[in-house]
Amino acid sequence: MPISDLSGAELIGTSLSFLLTLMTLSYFLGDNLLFRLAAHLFVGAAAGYAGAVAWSGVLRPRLVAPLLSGGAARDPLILVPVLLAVLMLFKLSPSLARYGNISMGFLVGVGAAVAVGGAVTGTLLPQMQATMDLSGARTTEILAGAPASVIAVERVFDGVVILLGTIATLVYFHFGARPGPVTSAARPALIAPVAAAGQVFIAITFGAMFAGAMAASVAILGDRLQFLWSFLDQVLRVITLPQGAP
Amino acid sequence: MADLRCRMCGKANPDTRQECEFCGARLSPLNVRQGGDSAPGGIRQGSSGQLQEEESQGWLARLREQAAKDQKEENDEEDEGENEEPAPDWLNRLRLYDEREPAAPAVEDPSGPEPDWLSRIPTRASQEGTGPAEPFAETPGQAENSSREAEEGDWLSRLHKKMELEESRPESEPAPPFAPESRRRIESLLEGETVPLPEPPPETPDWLASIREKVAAQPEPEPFSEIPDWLISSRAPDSIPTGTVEAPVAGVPAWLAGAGQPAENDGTSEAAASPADLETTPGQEPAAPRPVSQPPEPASEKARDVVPGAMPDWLAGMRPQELARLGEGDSDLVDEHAEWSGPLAGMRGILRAEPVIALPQKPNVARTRLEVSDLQNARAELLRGLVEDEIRQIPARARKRVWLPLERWLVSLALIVAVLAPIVLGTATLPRPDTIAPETLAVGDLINQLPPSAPVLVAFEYDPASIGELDLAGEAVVDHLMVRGARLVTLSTRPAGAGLALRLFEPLAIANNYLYGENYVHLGFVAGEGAGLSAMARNLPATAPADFAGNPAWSQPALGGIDSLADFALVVVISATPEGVRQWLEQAKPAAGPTPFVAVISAGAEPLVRPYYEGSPSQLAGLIAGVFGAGGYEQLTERPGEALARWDAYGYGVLAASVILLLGLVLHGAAGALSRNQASRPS
Repeated sequence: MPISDLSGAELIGTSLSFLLTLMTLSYFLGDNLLFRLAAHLFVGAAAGYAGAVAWSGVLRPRLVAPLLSGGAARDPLILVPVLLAVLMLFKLSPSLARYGNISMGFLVGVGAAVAVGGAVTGTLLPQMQATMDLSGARTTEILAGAPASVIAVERVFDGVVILLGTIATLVYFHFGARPGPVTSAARPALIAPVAAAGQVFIAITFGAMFAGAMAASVAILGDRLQFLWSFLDQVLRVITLPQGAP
Repeated sequence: MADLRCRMCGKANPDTRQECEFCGARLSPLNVRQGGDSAPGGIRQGSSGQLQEEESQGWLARLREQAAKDQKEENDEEDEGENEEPAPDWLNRLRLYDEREPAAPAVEDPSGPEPDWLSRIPTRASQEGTGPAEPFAETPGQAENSSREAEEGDWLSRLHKKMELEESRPESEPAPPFAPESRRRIESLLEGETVPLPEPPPETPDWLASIREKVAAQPEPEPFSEIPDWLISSRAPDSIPTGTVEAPVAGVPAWLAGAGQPAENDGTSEAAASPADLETTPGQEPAAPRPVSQPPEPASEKARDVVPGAMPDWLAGMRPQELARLGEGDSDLVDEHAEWSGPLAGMRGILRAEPVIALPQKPNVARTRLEVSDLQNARAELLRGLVEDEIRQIPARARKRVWLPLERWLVSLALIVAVLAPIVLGTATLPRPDTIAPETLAVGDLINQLPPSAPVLVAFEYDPASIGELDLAGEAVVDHLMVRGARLVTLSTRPAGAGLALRLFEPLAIANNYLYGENYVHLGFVAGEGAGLSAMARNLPATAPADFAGNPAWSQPALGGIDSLADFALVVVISATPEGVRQWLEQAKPAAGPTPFVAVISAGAEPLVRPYYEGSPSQLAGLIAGVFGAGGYEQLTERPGEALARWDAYGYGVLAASVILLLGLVLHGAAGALSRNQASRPS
């Protein structure tokens, strides 16, 4: 949208975005006051926005409004979150912080139970099953139209690589060692080569993650540079636009 | 019979009484006092307070003076005393006993200087020896025996009478000298000569008889040279005063009385430590001279020869500190503690064991020389070097020249130029993706297969920091969904994600003529992250009863026929992190049934999310990762958007980053090899 079509608030917001983007990019010159100021503003704005959303989307409609409208008489269970929330406020005082442990215990307990249960049924068991499955469904999908022999070889190769990669990576995290007669403690002879192979798989994984993070950073850099260029281009056009021209 | 004078009323009482018959005060105390007065509670008759005080200053000296002044009178009395007053029975028994027993060997008086603090002990003992001292451990029964024996010792009474006469005599009147016989007897007493012991009388108590039998059965005491070393070492040179056994005092053993003799007596006092001296009493005939290593000198000559000398260093080190201070300071503060148990019971001024045992003192640590091996010495040198390095003052270095972060500037400049140049120039030099990834194709196929007005749930699980990447793919997918006419329901488990959803939806809704409430609804923020997702999967209307604006959501047409996640035809999760996708798959996927899930993720999250797509059975039906996936999807839907518009900028930026990485790898590798080469080159 051209800045000439923006309202006053939108124009101010866009201008602030331009300045804050420049302040953030000033970090390439080194750590400086402008970068810190932009970072603090970003953190503060994000926290304030999150608080506002939590109030308007959760606390007010689902806790305060029912209490004010007599919802406690209809549903006394609404007092339970009220009590837990009040106990949580005791955490602000060091002398009364122990009373907030009830709320914290409730939150941590529920969160841990949900996370562990979901991890076992949603990640651990399916991934174990996928590791043991050498059918290579995706390989067949990728190599659709290829000869059957090629698909079979590729399927076996994928299965072996996945199996070896999984085992080697798990073995790498076996840190048991035995002290040698002369040298210091070292991995057992059977564990060491497998762990080395696992280290290679881990390095490849970290390399892939770094490449993805770098690609994402380049994409975000392109977005910000395009924003800056667009803003400057439109400002220059407004400035250089002759008076009375459409 | 001697009388006891009450200390309270001053009246005389028979010494057989324990309490004063006039005032009822106890005459003999239960315990001997700690002070210098060693007399019992009652004062013996004939000894006034003045006499007692004078006696405490050396009654033996006065006895000699008195003997010199009143010799004639003393001769008469001595003759009468020898003829008319026979020796007491117990003294006669002691003489007989001593005659049977060989004389105990006298111990040579060790030569050498005597310390002051040791010499004061016998001196004070002699000063306190004026009154009859009783041993501390003496029981009441023994006290009666002692008084009975003292009653028999009339010679002491005579001595007291002489002293009283001396006191009543004017100072100017010369005292009559001792008769020769008396002088000889007194000198023999002072020299400690033993007397034969008499046979025990029939009325001797059993306990005393048993003691005598034991003493008689004991072998002859070994000479001093065979005394155990510990005993020798415990006796400092010249620490034991010389002298002979003094006149018997009631209840005071002869060896204790000998301890109170002045140093002017001869050196035979060591024999007082031998058991034979226990039976040595005054008034007896001198026994055979005891064997000594050196011939004893006359008492007067030896007394003159004894000169206090300096204390040896080893002995000074062993001396208790308290006593050392006393010796250096006020001599009146000498320890007057009287031993109350053991063989030294009743003695005063002895070396006390308590300061050595109970009081804190310098530990007696054996000083040994460490045997240090070469390895230990080398380690000690290393440690010393480390410590010296720590305390060594390092001169301030010259201020290092500040280098500009040229490397950072070069990298930043190269990236900015590589990304910005295609944007400014508006070029499209890089080829567009003509091969679409299978996971991206899967997403397009799923959306293309959706029936008209199919409900689709879109979750925005990212923050504003990721909009530069995820908005590209999100816009492509949402635009495709709007093209397909799907009813869209949006939400987020992140507070910022709810606002980002509106930011992305509104321009596309305007472009595709989508109406809020009829074609799409924004449920906003769902609190609780994983727990909120789990609750939403079980009961979606209860978890999100209102939309982002606070209006009732489930009465709007866009949510018609939807009661749970299973009612949606597709679930799209747009997440910047692997955790966002994983939470949806772990908490919501089991409750969604056959509803397919697809993910639009950041390129950095792809390695950790792809296993959910590659698995068999796969938990993700499709996957779009980063700008590359967004460009391919726009290419697939033939609706070019922002992803393809930034394709060159993205491509050149990634190329520049790759080149910089390779250059950095080469340069740093070369620098490392060069430095290793220089380090290995001999200087």
